[in-house]
Amino acid sequence: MRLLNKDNVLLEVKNLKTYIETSAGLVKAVDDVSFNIKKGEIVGLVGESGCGKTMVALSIMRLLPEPHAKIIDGNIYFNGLDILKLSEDEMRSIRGNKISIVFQDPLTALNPIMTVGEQIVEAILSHQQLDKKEAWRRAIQLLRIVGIADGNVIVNQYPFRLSGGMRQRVMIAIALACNPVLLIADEPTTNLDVSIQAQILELIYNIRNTSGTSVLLITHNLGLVAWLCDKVYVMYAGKIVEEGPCENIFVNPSHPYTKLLLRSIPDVSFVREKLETIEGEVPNLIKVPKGCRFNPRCPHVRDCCKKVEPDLIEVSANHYARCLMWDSTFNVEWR
Amino acid sequence: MNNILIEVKDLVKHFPVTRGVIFKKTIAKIHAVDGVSFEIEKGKTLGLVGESGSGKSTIGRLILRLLEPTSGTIIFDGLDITKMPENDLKDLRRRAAAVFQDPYSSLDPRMRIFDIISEPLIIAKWGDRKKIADRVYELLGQVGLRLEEATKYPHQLSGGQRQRVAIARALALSPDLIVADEPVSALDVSVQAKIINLFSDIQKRLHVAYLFISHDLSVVRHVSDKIAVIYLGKIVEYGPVDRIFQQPLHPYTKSLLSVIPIPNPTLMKSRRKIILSGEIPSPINPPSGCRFHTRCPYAKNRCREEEPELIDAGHGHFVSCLFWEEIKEDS
Repeated sequence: MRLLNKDNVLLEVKNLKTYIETSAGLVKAVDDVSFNIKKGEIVGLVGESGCGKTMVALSIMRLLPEPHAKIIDGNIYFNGLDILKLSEDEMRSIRGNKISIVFQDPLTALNPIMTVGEQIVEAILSHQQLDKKEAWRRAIQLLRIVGIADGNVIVNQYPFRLSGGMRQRVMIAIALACNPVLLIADEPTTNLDVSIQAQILELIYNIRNTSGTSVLLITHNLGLVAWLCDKVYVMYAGKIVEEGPCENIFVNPSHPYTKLLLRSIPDVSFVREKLETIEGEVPNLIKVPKGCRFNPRCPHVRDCCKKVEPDLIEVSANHYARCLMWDSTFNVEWR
Repeated sequence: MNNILIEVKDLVKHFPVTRGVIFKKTIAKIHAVDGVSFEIEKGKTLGLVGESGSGKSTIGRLILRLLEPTSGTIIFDGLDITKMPENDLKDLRRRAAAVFQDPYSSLDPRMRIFDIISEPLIIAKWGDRKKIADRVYELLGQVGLRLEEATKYPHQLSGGQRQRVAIARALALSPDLIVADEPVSALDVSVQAKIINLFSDIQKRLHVAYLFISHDLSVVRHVSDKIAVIYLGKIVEYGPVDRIFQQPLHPYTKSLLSVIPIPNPTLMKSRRKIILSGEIPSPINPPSGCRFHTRCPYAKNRCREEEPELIDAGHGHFVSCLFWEEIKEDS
């Protein structure tokens, strides 16, 4: 055990490597990823599909589909405790209790043959010494916290009766059942309508503000990150390519991938004649490109990018980019 | 010269809700589309925005006559196609095509790309084999696919490439109108940008009109000339895209615009967000009066009783709200 409470760090992921064995070869889904989350912080992990961001979440929860997917190397310190060294029993007392997760698709994550109330109560009773009556009362209270006013009716319903937004609220209620200190939200609003998405995001924001819960928001949508996050990690092909305070990443993106990603999303606040696009496609993680993983798609590529794998370089205070050329690409007009 | 390609007036579509197997009884009606009117000019884009269940896809299908309207009229290039018998629709089928959301399910998995794109040409007896093959290769070029892809099957292509195939197929007979129903929603951010650019390029080159259906206001703003915001089967706001985005008049549009995630943290954290409570009500029993009153932050008693009409607010900007002038400055 190791104490690591400098700067109020709640979760520290160090050099995490999670690989998946497939018939086609070894997929290096998470390849030497390090990041940290402080108490009460909302941290964004952004990337396109297939970049390994969900694998990071599953590694933290130790919910990887073993034996195919395995953590090969690295440490995950939660409150100073390396959770990768815990036994399955010890981990179970943390999962859903201290750390909980909200998945993208609540219809597959919820049990279709249990009522909403039973599922919340199950979560409460597996970690807390309460009698059943008390737990049901708590379930209704939790539903109220996540914005379901008629909780006493909804507790008796099955998930299929609820709309997508309601299901996601139920998922959040289950996640909050034991007052977690860390909430992992994996694409929590991807299937939801804009007005419902806004409700869920404000809910997450308020949970942080009222109970100081840290949040890891995993998403492909940079708009959500701008809305909620204090700190951002941009992930590409299994690696963190840029990290820094939210404002810096958006005002002064320093990795070419981040820049292009920002320029390729249509923005309602101003209209471009043409959206920027990124050449090529996300690389196959079985055979990652040599050198910088972004080099086949990068407009600023040089010979050295194809040979040397870049480290994270400090661009400004607390802002890092994994790019050999950041100095020369830095001043290229990006908006 | 008449520049209007398609004119829709008071379009209504109700789906029956039935009970019983042998003695089917209609017990209720889903008011999917309830009195919608708009126009699309030749070579221009109308963006249709709304949340799930608002009836936007139904409108797309009605225009293509894939569904029979309950009432109302659809005039396609001067011709009333509302009640046209199926046999006479061949011309419409040639002149209006569709691109759907999910390129994984809209392409036949057992057909090669070449056959997928040539199928409409063969059905329309467009030309001999040689001519059709040339056309397929021309189309592949137009949508930015390599000619080698012609021999592949859909599952060998990525999502973005598949959507390109769907677009090539839609373009095969040089239509005047393409109904694009959420064409980029299933794609990744960087792929989405490429497909949006492709839509714009094609329009510039081929002068085809789009009915662009999407829930994503940022995408719609990027491609549209005019937009119609739809809520529970009714248009609540309609007009030129810049006017609506600069000064939304309907409280629903105001709210939607205030909560679109924008990649700008300073703006996101400082701007006033109007977060609607509750969810979109059931279209089986839409609320009385203004359908939005149950969620509207400005609702008054009159909104519960009186159904607002689309009112001309000037400059081709229409809004369906009883109090739009009072709340105009509040945003």
